[in-house]
Amino acid sequence: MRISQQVSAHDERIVLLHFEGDLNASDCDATSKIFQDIIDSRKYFIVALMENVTFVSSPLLGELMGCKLRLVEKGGNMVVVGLNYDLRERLIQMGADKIFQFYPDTHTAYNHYHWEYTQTAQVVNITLPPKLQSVPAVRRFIAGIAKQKGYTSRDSFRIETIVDEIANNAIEHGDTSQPEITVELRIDRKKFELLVRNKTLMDKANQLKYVLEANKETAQTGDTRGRGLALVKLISNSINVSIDKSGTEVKITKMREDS
Amino acid sequence: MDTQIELQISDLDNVPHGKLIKFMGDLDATNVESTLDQVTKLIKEGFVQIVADFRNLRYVNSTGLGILLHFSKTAKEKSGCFKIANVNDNVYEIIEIIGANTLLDIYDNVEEAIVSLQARR
Amino acid sequence: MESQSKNVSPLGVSQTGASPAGEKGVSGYSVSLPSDLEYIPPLRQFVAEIARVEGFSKKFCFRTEIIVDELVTNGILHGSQDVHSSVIVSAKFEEGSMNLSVQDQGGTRQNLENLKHAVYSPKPPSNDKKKGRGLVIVQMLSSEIKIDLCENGQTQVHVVKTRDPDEKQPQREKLLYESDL
Repeated sequence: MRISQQVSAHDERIVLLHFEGDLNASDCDATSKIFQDIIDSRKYFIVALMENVTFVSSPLLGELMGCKLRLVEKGGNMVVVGLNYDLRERLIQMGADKIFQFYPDTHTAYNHYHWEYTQTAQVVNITLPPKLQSVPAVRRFIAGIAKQKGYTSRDSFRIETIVDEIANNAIEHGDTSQPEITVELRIDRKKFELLVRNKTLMDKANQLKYVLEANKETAQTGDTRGRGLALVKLISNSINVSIDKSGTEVKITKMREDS
Repeated sequence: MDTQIELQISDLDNVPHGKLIKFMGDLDATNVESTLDQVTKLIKEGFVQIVADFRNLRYVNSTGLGILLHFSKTAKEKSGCFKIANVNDNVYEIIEIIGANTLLDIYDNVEEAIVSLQARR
Repeated sequence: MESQSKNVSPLGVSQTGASPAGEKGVSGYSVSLPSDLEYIPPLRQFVAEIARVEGFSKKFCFRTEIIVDELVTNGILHGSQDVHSSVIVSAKFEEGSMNLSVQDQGGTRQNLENLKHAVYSPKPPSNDKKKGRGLVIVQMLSSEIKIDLCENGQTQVHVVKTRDPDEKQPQREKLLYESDL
């Protein structure tokens, strides 16, 4: 067995451990010491790179499980990256998948680390022409992201509704000469933020601000769009409208319901 | 998250060591690992005569095709086979582009695939 | 910007973002997203659905979906490994074609060489090879493909896909209505 280590260039809290060759029972002590040294240096997140590993003995696997436990006690974690099909199968037979998360590549492991352990939001920006026909695709795209990131079906449906109403409104009441509208999505484990920017005629923008920010839960009878926006108010946690010469920006925040 | 694929596994009547796997959804880079684990487990348990029903498999990409070829190879190594049925035109086109149609056993429907399995006995 | 192309004239798609206002008959969309594989399923379906809205056939849209999938997967896995890196996908639709561009923040020199080799000197995928199938699929499904290596290290892959020859001109309004259902 050969092990080399390096601190991740992307995040100094993460240590990359490159394992190579056969991981035998006789390597347990050396492995334990390496982990202890890393923990002593106050680094608690380890990515075990196993692309070049040819064999893992069960005592060594047990040692790795113990090492992971020591990391978890410190608020950290250890994940496994790059297993080939055969080794992955063997580790699953030994129950390792109940203890470790397996990732196909380092990049995916980093992404999960950031999602789970930092509050950094992931950002998606969409630019589209002001066509009502493109809104269904946009709303399904954003709801699909929410689902993919682990939000419940109910949350995702509500997010779809919010995107639909706000994007339709931006197009219907936008300046007809505007070349595009932009939709920005910021998502993390706990909340979802939507920003829709467009160029809106001033009187329409002020109407929107009134409907969204005024202290009323329902719109006037016969006001279709107002009814939709009232619905958005009910299913989101905060709404903010800002208007200036460059255009209108609507910002909606929705907390994840199971967070 | 791998929310876009579901595998329904059932016995194949009159085929020893046989299983029918219904693939439903999209097979891609986000769910190949979980698909791999489920099918590999079956093969390890000795179910090496497998028919994969793709009637409800809407989509497959190159990563997904990679594991289909792996299943076929693994089953053959264990004197079994991994047969595919009900492939839609879009998915078939992708299989054909990478030349996997000559490597995978593809049938028009599940019944034909099962008959071919029974003929092997 | 170093540029190479394969049996194509330059695409003239060097900027991202929506098409300029007033560019008649052109609809431009762009999406910037984190380099994270989990975004690919909803993204590829979004671009395919937009192609449908823009009047292309179901077949064209499925082929678009797989082109987007393969190029973005490639950009994420072989582009910048920085966790904060992003990928930008732009699509411009005209009457008979789609110009698609996928930009990542650049990977290692070796990865770029591999990409150029895969695009400009493609070989049929071997049975044992686990990688490289994706770009073969993109080659087969698109009309033109080109790579731009930007001075800032970013990589752009441009694809032109023209309406399939056997595709009937769809009735645009009807399709829009269907897609809205």
